[in-house]
Parts: sequence; C-alpha cells; structure tokens
Amino acid sequence: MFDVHEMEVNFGPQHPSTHGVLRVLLKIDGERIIEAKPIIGYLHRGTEKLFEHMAYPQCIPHTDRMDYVASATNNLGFVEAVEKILGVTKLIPRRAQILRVILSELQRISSHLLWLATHAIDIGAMTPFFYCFREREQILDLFEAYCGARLTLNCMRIGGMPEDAPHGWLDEIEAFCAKFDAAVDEYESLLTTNRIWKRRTVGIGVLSPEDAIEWGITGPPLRGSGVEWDLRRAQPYECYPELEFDIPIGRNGDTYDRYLCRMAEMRQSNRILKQCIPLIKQTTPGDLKAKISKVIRPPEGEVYHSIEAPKGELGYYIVSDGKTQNAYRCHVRPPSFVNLQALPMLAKGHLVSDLVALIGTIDIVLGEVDR
Amino acid sequence: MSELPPTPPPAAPAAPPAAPAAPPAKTVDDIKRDPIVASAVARVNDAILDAKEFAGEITLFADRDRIVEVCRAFKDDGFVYLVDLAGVDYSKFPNHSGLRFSVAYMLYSFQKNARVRLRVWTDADTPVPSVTGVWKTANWHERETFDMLGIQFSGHPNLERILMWEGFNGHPLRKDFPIRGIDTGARIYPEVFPEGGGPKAGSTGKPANDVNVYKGEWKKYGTWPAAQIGGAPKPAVAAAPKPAPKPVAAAPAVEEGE
Amino acid sequence: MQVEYAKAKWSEKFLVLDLLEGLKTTLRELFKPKVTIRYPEERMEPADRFRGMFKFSYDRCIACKLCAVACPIDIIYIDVHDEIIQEGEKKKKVKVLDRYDIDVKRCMFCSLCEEACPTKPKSIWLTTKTYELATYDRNDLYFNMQELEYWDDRPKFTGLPEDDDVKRIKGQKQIAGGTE
Repeated sequence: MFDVHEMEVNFGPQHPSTHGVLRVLLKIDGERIIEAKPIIGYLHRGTEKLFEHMAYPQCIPHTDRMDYVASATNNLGFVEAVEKILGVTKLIPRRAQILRVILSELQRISSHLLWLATHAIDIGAMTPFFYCFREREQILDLFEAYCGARLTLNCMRIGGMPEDAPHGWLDEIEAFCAKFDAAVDEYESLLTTNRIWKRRTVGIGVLSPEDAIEWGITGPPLRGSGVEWDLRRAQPYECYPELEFDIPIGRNGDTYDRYLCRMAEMRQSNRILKQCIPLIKQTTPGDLKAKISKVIRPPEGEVYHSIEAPKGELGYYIVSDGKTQNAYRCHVRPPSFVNLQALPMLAKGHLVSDLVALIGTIDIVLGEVDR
Repeated sequence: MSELPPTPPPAAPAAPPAAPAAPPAKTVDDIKRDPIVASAVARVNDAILDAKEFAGEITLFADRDRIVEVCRAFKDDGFVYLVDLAGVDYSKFPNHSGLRFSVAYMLYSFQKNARVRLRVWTDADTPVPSVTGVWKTANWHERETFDMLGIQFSGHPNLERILMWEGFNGHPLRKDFPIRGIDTGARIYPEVFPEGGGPKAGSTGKPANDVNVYKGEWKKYGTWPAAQIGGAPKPAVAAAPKPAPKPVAAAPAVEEGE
Repeated sequence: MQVEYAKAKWSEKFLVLDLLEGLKTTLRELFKPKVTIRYPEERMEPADRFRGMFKFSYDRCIACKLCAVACPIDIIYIDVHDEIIQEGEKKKKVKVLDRYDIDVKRCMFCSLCEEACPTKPKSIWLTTKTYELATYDRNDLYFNMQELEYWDDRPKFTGLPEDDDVKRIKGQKQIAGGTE
C-alpha cells in the first residue's frame, strides 16, 4: 500500500553510543532498519605487524591495548600461548597461577561493570553508570596497588608474574568481595524488574543457539542463547579446575537474557575471588617465576591458544620460526570482531534505538575489533 | 675434618638414570588415525596431504582446491565451530621452499571438546575457495586475510577491504611491506616531511623516504611549526651542559664514583 | 545454571513497585557520602608501585644498554664510549655515558626498562608518583640526561594551586571504606 522510502544513514564513527569508532551504514525505512552494515577499521593500529618486529616480552604491553577495557586477560592469553609453544605450562608456580586468576577475575568484573554502565546509559538509564564506576574505581585502585597502572596493566610475564602482591592487598580484595554482592543487588534493583528496561531489552536481538554457533559467537552472547560453554570449564587453564563456579545460561537469547547472564557472571567471579584468597595465602610468597631462560626463543612450530576473556574467546595463533626472538606471525582472534559479524542479522527489522541496545549487548571494544 | 671419601673411579658414560625415552616421532598416518580426527579424515583421506603434531595440537594440510569439501566433512563430523581463520606469509621463513602463503582454519568440536587445525598453501595469484558456505563466520575472517595479505578467496559474497580503507594500495601484513608504512605525500606538513614521507600513508604505494619518525629523525627536517600547535615559537634547543664532557682529561673525577 | 527470571506479580505491576524500587535505591544514594575528588585542589596519591614519570641516576648507571633493548618502542637513546682510566696501577676500561635521552611523548610507561635494569638499586625507575606531565610544546617531552635526573627542578605551570594547598587523598582509603 505505501512505498518503502529507504534512506541510507550513517551511524557514524563519531557517536557516543558506538563504544569506540564503529560505523554502521544503515538502510532505514522510517525508524525500522532494513539493513545494517558495520564498517570497521577506524582504530586499526597494525598490532599484528608490530608483533612481528618485537621480542615476545616486548609484545605484552601491546596486547594490553587491544581490548583496553580488560587488559589483564589479553596479557594472560598471550603469555599462555607463548608458554604453550615453549612447553612450560606445567612449570608455572602455583602462586603465580592463582595470582593470574585473581587478576583475570577482577578484570572480568571490571569489564562487566563498564559494560553495564555504558549499556544502561545508551539505553537511557543514567544512574547505573555512576554506581558501576564507583565500584570500578575500587578495582582500578587494586590494580594500581599491584602493578602500577590502572588500565593497561602489563601485569603478566612469560613464565610467571613480575612481582608479588603488596602487603595488605589480599585483605583489600577480601573487603571488596564482601561488599560487591550488595553492589550487584543495587544495580539489579535499578534495572532487572524495571518495566522500562524490560520493554527495551526483552525480545530484542534474539539469537538462536544454532545461529550463534554458525556465526562463531562466544562469551555471554552464546551463553545467553542457552549454549552452556565456557572455556574456563571446557578447556581449563591456570588453576580453574579446582575452583567452583557456575556458568549462567539464558533461555531466549535476547538482550535481557544476555544482561542477566552478565550480572550472574559478575556474582560468579566474586565467588571465584573469594575462593582464591585462602588458596593463595597457603602458597609460599615470592615463588612467582618459572625457571626458564630470560631470552625467549621458542622452537619452530605453531600454536593456537585461547582463553575466556570477558567478551568471549580470545585466541592467539603464534607461528614461530625457531631462529629469532620475534614471533614470525602472531594473529589475534578477537571475540568482539567475530561477535560483531552477527549485528546485521540481529538488527534486521528492529528500530534504530534497538540498534544501540544491540551494539551494547554484544559488548564490543573497538580496540579489539580493529587491533 | 676426616679424609674425604675416596673419589669414585671415573664412571663410564652410563645410561641416563630413568630418563623417559623420547616418544618415537609420529608419522603422518599415525596422526591421521588420531581419534579426534579419524572419522573426519576417513571421508576425505586423499585430500589431506600432510599432518603434523606440535604442543598437543594436530595440524592437517589439505589440498587447496578441495578445501570446501574437507571443511564440510569436518563440520559434519562434529567440528561445527570455526574458531579462527588466519593467513601467514612464509616468504621470510627460514628453509621454506613451498608456496608463499598459508591459510589456517582453527576448528573446534563441542562433542569431542577438541581442536584441530587445517592448513592450505597458496600463492598471491591463486584464489582459495571460500568456506563461507560452510560456516558463516568465515566471512569477515576471509575479508581480513584478503585485506592484510592479499590472498584471494573465490566465491566469497563480499570480498573487500575491512580494516584498511578502500583504495589503499598494498597489503600490510606481507613481509615486504615496510613497518613504518608507505607513503603518500607530505600534504600535511610540507615543511617538516619531504616529498614521499609523512604520516598519511597508502594511496600511491610508493615507499616512504627513509624518515624514521619513531627514532626522532624528523628533527633533521626542522621542528614542528609552533604557531600551528600553540605557543610562541621556541628557540633552537640549547645544548644542556653535560656532566661528563667528551675529552678524557676532565672525566676521571666523575667516573671514579662508579 | 539457568538465570532466574523474576516473576512480576500483578499487584507490583499495578502499583508501579518496580520503578519505585529503583527510586528507593537512588534516594538512599542521595544521602551517602560522595566519592568524587575535586581535582586540582584535591589529588589522589598514587600507590607505591605507580608507574609515573622516570627518574634516572647517572651514578648508578653502568651503560649496559639493557633498558634500550627492552623498550618496546625504542625510545631510549644511549650513546656510550669506552675510556681507559688509571686506577692506582691497573688500567681499567670503563664505559662513559654520553647521551641518555628518553622521548617521553611516545612512552607508554610499561616499565619494561625498569625491569631490565641490572643494577641494585635501579638506575632508571618509574615510580616517582607523578602523572602530571602535560606541556605546551612537544619538544619539552624529549628529556635528556640532566632533565631526567633533576626532574623536580623543572619549571612548573603557574595558575595551579600551590603544593601546600593541595589535599592529597590516599587511594587505598576508597577500597576498604567504600561508600558506607
């Protein structure tokens, strides 16, 4: 009856809701999206090329800057991949392993807090932003006390950890964990049963489990669709086999489920932290580096190692030529890059304001998408 | 102290005590028979040309023209998940004599909880059949491999550049692409950068002049025009008095403190 | 572990209790102490291990160049020449440091140079707890040996509160105390 007046609009690289420099080329009919095409590359810095010109220990600060929101897990993935190619994974001392897990879980909580803050404020709820950042400040202060930096941590080394926990740090983590569950309850009181939030998120961006596997989605979007798969359980690394935690999964695969999954993941990370503190207190302080040579020159070969980053499966494919101290090729498999591929499929038929919710729920960080 | 115990006679080179013997190197067929991949390989055995195992991971080298068939066989066997698709440029690899590029497909199976890697060799002109028909997620991975390395994929719905801008002339991750970038034109700061050097790279494809910006070599072309950045133009940086001047005569007093 | 979906009762929906619960939370927050710090009159005191500006010690440096090798961005420029000095009767060959410059505008403060330094205590270190490095001119961020060592004597900006008037707030207080 009516003509379809298609308009092509640029949801431009400079936009407060795109979480970085993401450009989405939209074909819309009124407010309905007919086609959404993400265009990336605005933050491409040539990290993979740089990796080929730097020795392995020098690459670690550059891995921080890919997913700059969760840099400890980026470090962890790279360091573990190099340890796998060297064959020294079993030589890492236990204290270093538990310290790595503590930093990763703190980083997971901090990344999810940032996700919640920005996702809520994109949809329109401005209050969780302040509360989440208040808790996030406490975590960043903990990071600062440990390694000296708040955001780009550079906190792991090949073969162990650079330094031991400062005096009183573990008690501060315990104090944080004791109060964090109440903080998550506070965020949930603002959003979970809120009818406005539900209207904005229930039924938006439904992702079926088959589609999710087909498109290579990992992390909370996959778990929100009902697939119970977490690399910390399926292919555990560090000391995860001894820790007890649940993997939250959703049922419908919409934005609301992904939101509930991430909130539950924050609580589970808190639970992991509470278990790690007594474990690390039983180990001998100071025993943090494996006995490997300072010059890292791995044998010829290739390896792919992945870990569960807050955003999904972060993988490093390292090809070593056995002769030099640089990686011959280090390819990063970023979770946000792969998850973002599903955006055109999810956004079809929704409104433009739902597109904002979808970009937030897939949880992308452009530093990782573009490397 | 009492006398030392008698020194033991020089021992004959004895066998290393209880050292585990190195496992015999696996042959290609052994790896193909590994339970993780055996049933998938059985369907396309002649397309798998070689196999390797390193650090607990299995890599199978497949025939480039039959890669779609191989991938479909693996997908039907349970490897439903394409984790990653990466290209590697082997032109500077020591002792490498085959084709220049290799494309690696990382697969994962939920049922077996196992990973396998498939690799194909290709060169710059021969396209690799695209696997977007098998796994939809290969779409952007193949675009990125094309963009960064120049490997063509035939049958891809939309093979265009993804990380670099369209119109860029070059493939950054190739080994002959310079790390400092390629030129185009000192259009922004002509009084600082000579023709052919500069930060805005890519369109003409000519190599940049030898200005290593990272090592401060831009300084030989002059300082940044202060008027454009803000603040009064500063005089040339005066040489600060150094604690240890070059001539040997005055030096010893300071070095002795080391 | 399946996530829980809260079932809303009809009475809650009718009486708008879900929105009121959110308002109750914000009302409670209204009366809690605020966590923001009024920069620049109040400043956060960084932690002990904070990776701030460099400090260099010419006396301790043995000119081994390990820091320059370890830097991921190659911003440490070192020139060294050998000299033979007479020490009593023996002749000793020492390395004399001519130039030790750091191009701080490209530095990412990763502290790999500090880790690589073999002297004890270190000759290049990053924990000077200063993060205020902004300048008006790019060239001011290229520090040579003098400036690295005597960095506290550099000219400061005018217009900021005097050091005595600045209230230093210890970061760690925020952790245990929180907002309660």
